[in-house]
Amino acid sequence: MAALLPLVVVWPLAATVIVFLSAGWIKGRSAGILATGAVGLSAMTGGALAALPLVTAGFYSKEMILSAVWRGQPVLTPDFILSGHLLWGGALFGALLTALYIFRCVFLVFYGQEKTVPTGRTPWVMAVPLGCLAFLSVFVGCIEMPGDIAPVHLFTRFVDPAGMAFHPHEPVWLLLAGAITPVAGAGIAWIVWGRSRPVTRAIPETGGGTGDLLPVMPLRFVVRITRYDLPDRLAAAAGWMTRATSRMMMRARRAVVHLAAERTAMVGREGTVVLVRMQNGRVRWYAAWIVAGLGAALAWAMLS
Amino acid sequence: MSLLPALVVLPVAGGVIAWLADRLHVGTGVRMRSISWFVSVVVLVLETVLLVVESLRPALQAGGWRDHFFLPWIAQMGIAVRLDMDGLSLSLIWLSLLLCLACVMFSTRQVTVSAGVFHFLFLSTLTGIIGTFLATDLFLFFFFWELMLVPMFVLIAQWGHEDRQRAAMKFFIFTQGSGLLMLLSILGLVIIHYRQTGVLTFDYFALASTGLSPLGSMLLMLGFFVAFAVKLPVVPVHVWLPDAHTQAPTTASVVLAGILLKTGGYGMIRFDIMLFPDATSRFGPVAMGLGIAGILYGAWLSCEQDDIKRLIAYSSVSHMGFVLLGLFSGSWIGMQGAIIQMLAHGLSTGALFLIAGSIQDRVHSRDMRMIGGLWAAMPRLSGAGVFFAVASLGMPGLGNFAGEFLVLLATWRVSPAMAVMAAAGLVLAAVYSLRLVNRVFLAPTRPGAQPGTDFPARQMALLGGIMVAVIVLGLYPRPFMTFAVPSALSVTAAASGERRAP
Amino acid sequence: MIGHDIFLPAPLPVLSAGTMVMLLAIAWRRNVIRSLVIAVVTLLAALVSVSHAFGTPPADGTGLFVQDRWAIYTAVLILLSVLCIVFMSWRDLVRDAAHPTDEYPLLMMLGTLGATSMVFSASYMPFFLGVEILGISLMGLIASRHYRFAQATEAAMKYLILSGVSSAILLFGMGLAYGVSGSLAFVPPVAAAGFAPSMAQVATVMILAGMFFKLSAVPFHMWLPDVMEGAPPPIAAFTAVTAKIAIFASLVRYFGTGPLPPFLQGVIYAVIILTIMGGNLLALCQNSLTRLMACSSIAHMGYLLIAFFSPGRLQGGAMTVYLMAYTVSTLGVFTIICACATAMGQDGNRITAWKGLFATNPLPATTMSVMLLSLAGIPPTIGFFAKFEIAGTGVELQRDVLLLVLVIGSIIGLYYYLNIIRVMMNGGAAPSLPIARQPQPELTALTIVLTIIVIMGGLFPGPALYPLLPATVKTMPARNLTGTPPEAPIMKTAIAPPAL
Repeated sequence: MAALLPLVVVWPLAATVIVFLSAGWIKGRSAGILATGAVGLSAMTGGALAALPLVTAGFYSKEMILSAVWRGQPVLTPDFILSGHLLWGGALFGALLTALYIFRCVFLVFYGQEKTVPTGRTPWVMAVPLGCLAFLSVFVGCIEMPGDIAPVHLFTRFVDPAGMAFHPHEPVWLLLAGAITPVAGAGIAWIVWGRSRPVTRAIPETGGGTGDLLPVMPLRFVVRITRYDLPDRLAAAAGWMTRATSRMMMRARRAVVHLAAERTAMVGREGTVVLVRMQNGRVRWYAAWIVAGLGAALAWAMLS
Repeated sequence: MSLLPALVVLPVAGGVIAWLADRLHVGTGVRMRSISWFVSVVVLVLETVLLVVESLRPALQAGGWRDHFFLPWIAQMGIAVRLDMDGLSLSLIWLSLLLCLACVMFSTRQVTVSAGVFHFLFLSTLTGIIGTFLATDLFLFFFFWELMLVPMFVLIAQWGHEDRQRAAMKFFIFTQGSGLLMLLSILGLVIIHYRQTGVLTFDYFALASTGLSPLGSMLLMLGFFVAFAVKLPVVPVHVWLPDAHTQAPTTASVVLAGILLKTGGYGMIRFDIMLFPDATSRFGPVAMGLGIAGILYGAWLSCEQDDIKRLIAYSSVSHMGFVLLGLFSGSWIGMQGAIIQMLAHGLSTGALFLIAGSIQDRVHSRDMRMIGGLWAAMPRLSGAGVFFAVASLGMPGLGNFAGEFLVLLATWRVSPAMAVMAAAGLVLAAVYSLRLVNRVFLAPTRPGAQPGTDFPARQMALLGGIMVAVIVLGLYPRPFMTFAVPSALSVTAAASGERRAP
Repeated sequence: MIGHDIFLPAPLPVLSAGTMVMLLAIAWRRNVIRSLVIAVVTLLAALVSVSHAFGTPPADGTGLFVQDRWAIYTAVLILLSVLCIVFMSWRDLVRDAAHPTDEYPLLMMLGTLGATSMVFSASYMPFFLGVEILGISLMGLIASRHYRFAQATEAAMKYLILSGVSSAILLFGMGLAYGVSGSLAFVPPVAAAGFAPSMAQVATVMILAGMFFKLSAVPFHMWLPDVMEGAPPPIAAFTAVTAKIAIFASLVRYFGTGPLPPFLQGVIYAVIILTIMGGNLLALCQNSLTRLMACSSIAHMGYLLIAFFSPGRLQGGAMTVYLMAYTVSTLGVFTIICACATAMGQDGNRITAWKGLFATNPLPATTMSVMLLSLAGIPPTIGFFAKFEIAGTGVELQRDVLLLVLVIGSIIGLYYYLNIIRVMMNGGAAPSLPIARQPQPELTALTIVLTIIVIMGGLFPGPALYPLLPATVKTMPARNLTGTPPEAPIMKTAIAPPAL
């Protein structure tokens, strides 16, 4: 299982890089573009991210994760063992959502009505890496394939030559489920955003015909939840509370320091006031103190 | 012939010449106005040459002590002028000299009012500092300890900023007052030794072999500890530091933060840990708690500041908390980490104060809310500022991280909880450092701000040298870890296990 | 006893002769400069002859006078300080042509005679005579100010009455001591057979109380600030320095340098604590420089008493160095006050009048700072070493409370001494002291000489430690790594009090 880690990290990473490169390239040119060759490239990368079956590298890496998860049984506590099937179902749902959002992006950016006019040309410095990475994101999957399709395990042999990862044969329907899900997601995205009707840029708030309502309603619900962005709000609230606490403590500290300084000054003043009042300039007072001092000294010396 | 007395006396002699030169040449033109500055530069260069010669000498004896000087002074009391140099004092003197050179290059030339007196006081402070690092006669150490504060007091009170008088008074009374407790400890140790052996002496090496009861050694160690704790500073008695650092002129701030704080750490190593190892280990938990309190408190207050110099001052409190933590963790690795942290902090905070002083000279304000957008106007200054702020927050690869990491490693072995709390201070360090960088350098320019001139090439070259030093300290601290450690008190003491296993 | 077999230390007849000569000269024709010159010559002659004597000391120790190293040292200090004070007051006396003041040097000579007599005395009689001569001369000197006559007279009257009270107590104690012990020797009385020992103790306490008045220990200190403020600055210096040296020397002579009798331990303990804290706290809230110096003088006497109270190896050196440090620093401060004051009126009494002195007159400001740093105990001055020694005597006998009080008192002292330096540095407003003044070379020279003594004494205090230290001194020659301890020497006390 540990050998999977480098594997499953590398390909989605590459795909993400391509997506960001394209995003940067697109930003320079703005939405609604169609007729540039790089469009195909971006569609390819979108597909790689979504792990479209067989043609993209992302498919193969996701397959490995899904098949491993199906078999797995993580132990949280000695008497609470999670089922791998549950996790597999969740991962599958995540794959669906991935396909949904990335193809929404592709359809909205490249296939809608033209809202702005693209300007400028892609510099070759940007286009060449884009092309390389797109090529790789499609064809690199060949080096590691699930055993059912073709027994090619070049990558695992490279990463972990000593202990060969065990590749049991999973049921075929697992493979099919993993293959169909991204396609289904792409399909839904096409239904909602890709058709040649006037483009819907967002989830429609007010519905059209009932034919649109069925796929749209769960989406509307999901979007509302994500717009609320609970983790971000929690982090912001924690930050605000920290700053408020800090300010409160700072005020308390300032008060304490001020009080301490005031009290010290007061003690200094009060302490000396007694002595200063004794210096009142009267001779009889001074003489009295001399005699009193003598008497005290005599008393102490005699009585000790 | 030992060069140590020359090392000590040369700065103050040069200072007298600088003052005389200024008095005799007053009013004869622009060139002559900076004659005292020129004399100071010459003196510092000579001092550097002396130090290079001293460093290249082979060690005198196996114990690690490099050089020794002895001259009878007050024979009736057993006081002599005893100077000894080992790796630790040599490293700290190098740090002092480097920072003083940076000061003369950057900020002392701007002083036009009574420049001769200013340079005299500046060089006298250097004499006091070098004397403190070299003295191994306890009376002589105390003499230099008190002596190095007088010129600093005058520097702050006369050339400082708006609230300088109060800051100077607080600084002086706190440090001198705590020094009196150290005086009592010194005398106690000497008298106990006299009762045991019949010999009245103030020699560090002879007194190290005094037999002390547990209570006696704890009391004596605490007397020394209080004086060094006020200097380091340790949290309850740190109150003099923010005002003194903020109100002092740039030169004095750099010397205060870069060097004077390190004398506290040096004293703790040389006297508390080396003379009273058992009492130190018993006092360890308390001192480590104070260290952590210092780290967190200093960092927290630093986050709340709007004044640049006050922010850096509180960050010094936080960094010195790491030093205290490392010194009292009871392991050799902790002490080495603390020494690396002292060296790195001296360099980075000294440079930060130079930059803050330069900003104040150009923008005439220390308030971060009023300053912004310096990056566009002064890229070199901003770049240096960002570098040293990043060093201060503990970026791996730079000197502060090396020191802090070793200290945390040593603390983890004692108490993981303490290490966790100390590491939280690193997070706060990032907050205040980046806040400083953001507000001062990266924020948009305020309307109506006049941009100043950027650093000239020679000042940038000097800052570059300091940057290289910080990077070397961070990437390859091993030579410093083996070199800049206190030497054993005697051959027998080294053999009998004074060194604790890391 | 009276006759050719009397033992008389030489300064006493020299000073007496000088006073006679001055009296004759004044009776013949008044001339201030001539009187002052006679005074200086007499003092120099006394200095030269300080270690000589007429006659031989009696073998059984029943003489009136004694001349050991302690007496010679304190006599030298007294004579030098009076020389300084004569120079301090020279210019004002000479310039004041309207009021002939020949009596001033005359009374000063008499006062010196009294002080020297106290220092050399080995019996109650010369001691008490010296006390009275000093007191009466001081009274005239305090009132010798013409431009603030009311205050001067008030101060003189206060001194007269209070000094009378204390002299009465002193005399009563001496009489009781004679009655109880049958001897006039200047040592604590030992009750002869048939008398209760408590009578001897009462006598000792009364003599001690009388001495404490002159020493301005709390609670007998109240006269000092008022008297010093009313007197002209040189006479304030005289009160603070010369009189105190004389009485402290007598105190040490009376009780010796060994441990004090047990019934006095508590009294002296309390007096020391009260004196240090009282003196420092009083000085904190003073606005007048002279009063501040008076209160600081009270505190310094407290520090000296710590050394007096702690017999041991360090005691002799501590007392010697501290007396010298205190004398030089206080004289220095008063010299600078005289130098910065005008002849009439403003004499720089208010501390705020010293504002911005560093900008206008750097030399007096710097030397004043050096003197104040010496009084505060900061290196590289002699005051630092002196305070170090005092702390050493306290640590030697583990007087924890006294050491704590010493530390607290020193910290408070730091504050008010530094405050003056801070005021001098505060260069904002225009200073109140007039800048244009006639050059005063003798005061400048005196200031510089005293400053050099302070700094050199701080760097090389060795010679000042000689007079009282015991003969055997064991120290470490060089670093001794083998650590074999040498044999312990026998501790000796410095002076043996003359036997009964």
